[in-house]
Amino acid sequence: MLQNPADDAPRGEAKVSPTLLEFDGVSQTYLSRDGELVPAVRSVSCSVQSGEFISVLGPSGCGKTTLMMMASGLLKPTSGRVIYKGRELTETGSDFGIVFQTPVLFPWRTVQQNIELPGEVRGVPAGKRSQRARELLDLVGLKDFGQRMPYELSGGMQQRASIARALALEPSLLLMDEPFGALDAMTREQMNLELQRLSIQLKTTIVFITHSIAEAAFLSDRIIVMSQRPSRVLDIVKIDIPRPRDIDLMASDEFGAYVNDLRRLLDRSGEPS
Amino acid sequence: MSLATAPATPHPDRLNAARRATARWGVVVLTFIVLMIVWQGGVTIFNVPPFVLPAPSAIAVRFLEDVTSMSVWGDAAITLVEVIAGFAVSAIFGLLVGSVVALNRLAEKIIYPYVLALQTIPKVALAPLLIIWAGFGIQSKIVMAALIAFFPIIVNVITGLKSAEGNRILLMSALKASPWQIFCKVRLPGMLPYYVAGLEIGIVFSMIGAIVGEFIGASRGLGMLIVMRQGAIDVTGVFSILIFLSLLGIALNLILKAVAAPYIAWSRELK
Repeated sequence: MLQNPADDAPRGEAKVSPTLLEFDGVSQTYLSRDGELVPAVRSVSCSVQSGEFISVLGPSGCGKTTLMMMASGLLKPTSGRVIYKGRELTETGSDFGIVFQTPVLFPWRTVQQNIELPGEVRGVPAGKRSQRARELLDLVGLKDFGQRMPYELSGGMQQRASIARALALEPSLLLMDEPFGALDAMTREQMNLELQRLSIQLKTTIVFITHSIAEAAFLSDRIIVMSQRPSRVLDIVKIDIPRPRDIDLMASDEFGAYVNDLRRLLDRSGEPS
Repeated sequence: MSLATAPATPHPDRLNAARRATARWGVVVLTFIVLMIVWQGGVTIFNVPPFVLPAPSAIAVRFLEDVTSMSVWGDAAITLVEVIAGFAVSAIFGLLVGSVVALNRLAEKIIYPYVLALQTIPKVALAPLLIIWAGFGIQSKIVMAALIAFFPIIVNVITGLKSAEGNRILLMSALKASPWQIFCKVRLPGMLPYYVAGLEIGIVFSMIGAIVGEFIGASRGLGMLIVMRQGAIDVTGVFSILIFLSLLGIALNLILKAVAAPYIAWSRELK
């Protein structure tokens, strides 16, 4: 079940998808307040195929978010290269959407206006971006909530809106930083199913950061398992379960075996997750 | 079917809310009436002379006389112009200077110490100087009103702009937004509730400024009337002007709240 990063293939049998994103020996070091150099991520090499759903799994504070920031180009690696669509990222990329742990909606805008924000910033004509926003509201199941204010929505609905916003510019890559971490268990399960539906429907490449083993195993084609700080890649685990995956899958032996493998892997790195 | 035949009575919660509102106002009115009776009774029983403390009935009569006489309205208009002009100046400069200070490290280092130094001076103490520089007319009162109102406004602008949530800015950076876009779409709207809170204090402060300015020297205005009537030991007349001032303050505050409400409605809902 544990796979070598070299012979990984994305979901969808023998089809060879092009590499969308590649980390080539990437390290990130912070300068702490007392002037010490703190390594956050140490020589990470891995690649993300086009259309793949890939999770980054690791204990809290292991530098997963740092990894995501480097994938977006918002943060430059201290050493190594981040390669996106065959070219090294030297500045903030313009082809990704981002979802944070909290919805980060703008409370003074309606839900629809929030989803139109990326289009507004990039100068998409008003008619086009409002049409796109309505499509997205429909897609994430918020059809009748476009004219509501964010505070009128539940936590799960707010996060749906934030996913819709991330998809506004039709990015090739969706970066999600523990997007369901602040939701209650039942909403979280529902959101996992929704996200699976979205990823099958849109075929957008998704990099999903989480510290929930079950969530990662349920959603991913592959899971990059990270160690504690300074984090490095412990292993890359391929989840060979066909989609769409049902929520009952979580009770199956097959799924249980994956979860156990992942847990053992993380335990060995020193911290139970 | 049962819905169609249901009688059209208001929802019990709405009924209770209406009842509670009536009760609240009832308490306010009742307190006022009791207070007036105690005042009226005290002045009558202890035979307090009207040049020390006039009876509320006498004040009411005098106020009605003032309302019907044109001269006080003219002075009220002068004071109103001073207050609004001073307030407008500080509202605009508070926003501009506050934005520059909040967003530019160098500007903050250069300007902010002066803003703080200005705040430590009791600005009322500047009134005599302002009369020398800006004259006896309404200009000196406008400057006074603006000076006093400036500080609460600029402090709120700076606090509001600096409190912009980090993730909202990060989101905008991820969209490659320009600094100007970040200012217009994140910092400015998020700062508005702070600005309005500053303006509410500012409008009261600019009234203080205008009145103090008139105390020091003026030929028109409600503050000047107070000084004149005090000189004539017309205490009832002074109280009448105080009612004018208080009504003016309440009116300005209500107008400001009404104008600002649609822009900051979202912030009230977050609590």
